[in-house]
Amino acid sequence: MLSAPAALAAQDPGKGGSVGGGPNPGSDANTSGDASDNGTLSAGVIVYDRSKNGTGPSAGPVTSTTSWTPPACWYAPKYSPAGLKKYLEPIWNAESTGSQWDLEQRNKYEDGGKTAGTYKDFNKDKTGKGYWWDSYVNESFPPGWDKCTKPFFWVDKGDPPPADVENAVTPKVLGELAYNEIRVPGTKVTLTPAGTTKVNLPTWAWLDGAAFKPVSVTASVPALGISATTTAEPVSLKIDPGTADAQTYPASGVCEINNGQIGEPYGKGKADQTPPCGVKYLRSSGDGTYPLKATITWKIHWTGTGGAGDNLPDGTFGATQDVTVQEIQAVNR
Amino acid sequence: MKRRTLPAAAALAATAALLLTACGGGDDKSKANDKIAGADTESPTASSPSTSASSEAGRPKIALSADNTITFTPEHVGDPGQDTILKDNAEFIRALNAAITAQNPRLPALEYYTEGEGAASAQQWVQSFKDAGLTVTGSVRYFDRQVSVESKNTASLTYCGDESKGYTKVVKTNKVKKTKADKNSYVSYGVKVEKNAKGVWETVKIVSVRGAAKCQP
Repeated sequence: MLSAPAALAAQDPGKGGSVGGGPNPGSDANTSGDASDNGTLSAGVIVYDRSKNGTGPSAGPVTSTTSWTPPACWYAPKYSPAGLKKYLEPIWNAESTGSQWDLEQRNKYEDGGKTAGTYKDFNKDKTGKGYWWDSYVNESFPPGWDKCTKPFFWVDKGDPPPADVENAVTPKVLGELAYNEIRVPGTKVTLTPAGTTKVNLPTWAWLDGAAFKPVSVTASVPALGISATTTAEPVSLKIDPGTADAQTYPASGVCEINNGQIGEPYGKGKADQTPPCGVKYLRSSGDGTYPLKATITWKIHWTGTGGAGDNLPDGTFGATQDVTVQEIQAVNR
Repeated sequence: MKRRTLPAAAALAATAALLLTACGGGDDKSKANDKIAGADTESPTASSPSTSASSEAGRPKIALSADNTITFTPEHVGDPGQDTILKDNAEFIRALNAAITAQNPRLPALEYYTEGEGAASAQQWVQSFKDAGLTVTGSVRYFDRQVSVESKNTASLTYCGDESKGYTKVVKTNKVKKTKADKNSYVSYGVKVEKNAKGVWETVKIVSVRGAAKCQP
């Protein structure tokens, strides 16, 4: 765990934390796989390998093209028996929760064991044979981050999580979570003529093929021995000229990827050809510019432990660039 | 999580205890601290009888020490339900500040606005200041506050904290640790709240991320 500099403009007692943030009390944030001595799995129970992700200052996340979004909260192993005891007892002792609630909790996790759904001594007898699972949230707090409200539940090692718990980590959920971590390169389209184009002139547009290769992120839970790799492959470029007074090539504005190449670089001898991908402005941008928006669509799928896998909704990532369009001066004699 | 059912008498006892802890907070504190009292909690607001007059009843009055300022944006959104949640969240934040100033993890006003995991997180946070011999000073701005109402008694909030003008101070020496702001001066929060039997929206869970991208200026 990196400590924040002691001398920092912040109301932080020195550990780089924040209220309710950072590692759980007594946890060891260096532990990423197994429960540490004091029994708390780190916040990093899910480990992401981002080494095959898109890079560069303009890289960014994809946005789902459907209403589906990756899970905003999920369940995963968090505590060993000793860890849950260490976490819950101070809460009960805090006495802010009313004795009735405390008693119910104690009966469930500490003094139970004789009826289903209750446990003796935080399941101490099963130490090393499973984990207490708890909710985790996407710390950007997207809509739905607060929907995981199930209490701690125990899962034996090797068993799948209960089927009725939505978003309990499985390879599928890991694949969906990895979707969130995908970063794809920015979409600066090369235009010819560059910078300033002319009214009614077919302007060629293409993308640097080298930059647009598949990217992937692998999410794994070492404590459970499961993982999933989510891969995004570029499929098309959509050009929005930024004004109604324009035509695109092709007319749909969608340029498909072709032999790893989107669009075609302009070259000598192509002046009479129609660009396979491009734009033709019909009006000058006057003193200003048009905001040309270039959006790449990425086809995304996951494959996980045990050979499972499926498609996920396409994602898009785009950027806007300014285009100056001038009248053709030659006629203004 | 179950709601606590604190009888009215206990609530009064809580505010009385608050008065005591405020007075015991140390001799170098300004007199402003003495305002952390429960004396005028029942003061009626005659001007607005239509808006749930009971919503203010019994809430502890929290005064910050003179060197602490906290602002909230937005303070209200114009929806009575959401505004009560925003108000109680602001009071929770103020209580947390007052608890650090008082070096008291069990400040009754803080317990008044927290429960369960939320209470434990808040206590531990205050305790970590106490352990380090530090308190807080300066001004903190909470912004981008958004409420999402889940049901009659459950809701959540997200907001950002700007601590770029907030500092820690050594309790013993009053020396302020004042330096430049950086990305860790900004904190992103996600808070779950539940309405208890008295109509108070208590913080039951709090998650926060120091240095979060979404809260950077």
